[in-house]
Amino acid sequence: MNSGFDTSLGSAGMYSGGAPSGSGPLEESLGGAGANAELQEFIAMEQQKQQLRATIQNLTDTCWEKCITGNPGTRLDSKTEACLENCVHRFFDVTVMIANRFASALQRQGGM
Amino acid sequence: MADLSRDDLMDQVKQQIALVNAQELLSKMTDKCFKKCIVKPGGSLDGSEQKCVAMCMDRYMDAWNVVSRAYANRLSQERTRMS
Repeated sequence: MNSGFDTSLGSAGMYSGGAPSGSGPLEESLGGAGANAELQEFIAMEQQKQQLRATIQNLTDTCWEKCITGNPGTRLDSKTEACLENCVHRFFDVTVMIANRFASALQRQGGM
Repeated sequence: MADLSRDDLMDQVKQQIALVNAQELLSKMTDKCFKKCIVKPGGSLDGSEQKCVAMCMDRYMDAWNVVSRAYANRLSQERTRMS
């Protein structure tokens, strides 16, 4: 299991929901012991896609609250669209910043 | 399950994932648009509330697309920056 905290920015690192990694009960029931490498790869891929999707869903949620003020119009105006894009980028920045600060805080304490 | 071919199994998994994703999006949109459009619940959904809900749903999907494009761009930016 990962610790849920990762400074490498791998793929959909944010909101890592603790998706099961390696072989779990699901993988085992599908053939187990590497007999079904293709299936395992498929599952790993789908998990990654779901994690990415969850991140985007969460971001949409958060940025909708920040950027869509007032009643929704007939289209997203350019200001709102820019706000949504900025929101994504700033959220990303904050994720990286907090991860780094948290990592150095842990190091200072000599933990992990 | 024993006589399910691997491709069938993968298809089923994909279908179930798609279903769950659609349900999640649906419930998110309902939640957001209810909050935005129904300020004070009356005896029925009136015309302006219905219009608002319809717009809201379309704009939510637009927002989803804008966010996912921006996020994908940022991920690939970060990847090239780090390599």
